Amino acid sequence: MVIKMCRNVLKSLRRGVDPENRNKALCFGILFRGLQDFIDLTEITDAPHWITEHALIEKAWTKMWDCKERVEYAAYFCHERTIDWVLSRIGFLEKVFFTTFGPGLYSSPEIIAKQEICSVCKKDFRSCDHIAGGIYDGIRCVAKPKDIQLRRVSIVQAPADPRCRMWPWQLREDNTMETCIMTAFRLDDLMDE
Amino acid sequence: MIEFEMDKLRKVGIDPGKLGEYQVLCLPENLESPGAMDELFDASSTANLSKRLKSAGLKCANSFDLGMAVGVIERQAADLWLGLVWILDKFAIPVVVGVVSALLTSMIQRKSKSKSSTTHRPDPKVHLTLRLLRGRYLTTIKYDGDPETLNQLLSGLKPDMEYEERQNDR
Repeated sequence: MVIKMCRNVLKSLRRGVDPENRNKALCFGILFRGLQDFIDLTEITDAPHWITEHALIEKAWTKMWDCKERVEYAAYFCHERTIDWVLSRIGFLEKVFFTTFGPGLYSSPEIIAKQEICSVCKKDFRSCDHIAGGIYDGIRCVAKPKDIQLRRVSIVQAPADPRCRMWPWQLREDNTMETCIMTAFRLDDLMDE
Repeated sequence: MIEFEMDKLRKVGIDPGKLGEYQVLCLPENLESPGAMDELFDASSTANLSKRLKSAGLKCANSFDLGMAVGVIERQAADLWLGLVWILDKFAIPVVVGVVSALLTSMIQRKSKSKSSTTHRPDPKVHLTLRLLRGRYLTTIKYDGDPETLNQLLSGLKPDMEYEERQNDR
C-alpha cells in the first residue's frame, strides 16, 4: 500500500516540479520495500526446519541481503527505532548463517562495459556531476553499463553482491557447479511494478 | 623522467598542451600496462572520484574530458578501485588527500558496521596508483591494501608538502 503510494507520487509529480517530495517518496519507497522484504524473510524463517532445506536457505539468504541493503540505504535519510530494530534482527540472522554455514565463498564476475550511462541524466556517466548512490529529483544515481562483456568470474571472500554465494549442495557429482554469478537486484525496483 | 612520463600520455592520445588546464587527471587504470593501448579501461570508481574532486573545486579531468573513448571495468567485489590518479599541481594534493580520505573513511565506517553484524568476511581493499608531480620530481604510490593504512599514508603527504614549501621559501 505505502509502496504503491510512493510509486504514485513519483509518477504523478513531474521531474523538476517538486524534487524534495520526489526524493522523499523514493526514499520511503525503498524503506518500505525493505520492510516488505523483512516480512517475506520472517515468513521463510518462521517455517519449521527452514535451516535444513536448501531452497529455503538460499531464498532466506537472498531476502536477508535485499532487506539489509534497502533498509541500510534508507537509514541514511530517515532515523527510526523500527529501522534499528529491523537491522538488529538482520544482524542476528546473519550470525545464524555464519555459525551454521561459515563465512562462505562467492562468485564475482569481472565485466567490461563500453560505456556507462547515468540513470539521472542519461548522459555518459563520466560527463555529468551526479554521484553514484545519491538521489536526484526522485531518481537514484547509478552508472548503467552498456555493451557489456564478461571477462572472467572469480571466487572471492568479500563480494560486492553477497547474493552470489556458492552453497556446498550446488556442487554436483561430476564436480561441476550451478551457481548464481550475477543478480538483477536494484534498491529502487519499486518503480518497475 | 617527466618527459618520459609525458610521452606515455601522448601515446594514448592525450594532448600535452591540454594538461596545463588541469590540476589532477583521473586516468584509465591500465594506462601504464604493456600492451594496454588496444583496450584501455577506467576503474569502476574513477568517474565518481573525478566528480568528487571537481565538486571540491579542483580542475580535474577524466578520460571523457581528455577525449578518450575507453571502457569501464566492473569487478563485482567489495574492493574500491580508484584507478590511476596523476596530481599535476602540488597545491591540489591536500584536496585530493581530503577527498580520497573521505571515501576511505566511509568505507571504514561501513566495514566497522558490518563487523558489528559479525559477517566475518575479509576486509575489502583499496586499489590506487597515485602519481605526484612536485617540481621536477615525480613520486609514484601504488597501493593495494586496507583503507586504514592508505588513510595514514595519505595524511603523511600533507606535512610533506608543507615541509617542501618551507624549504622553497628559504
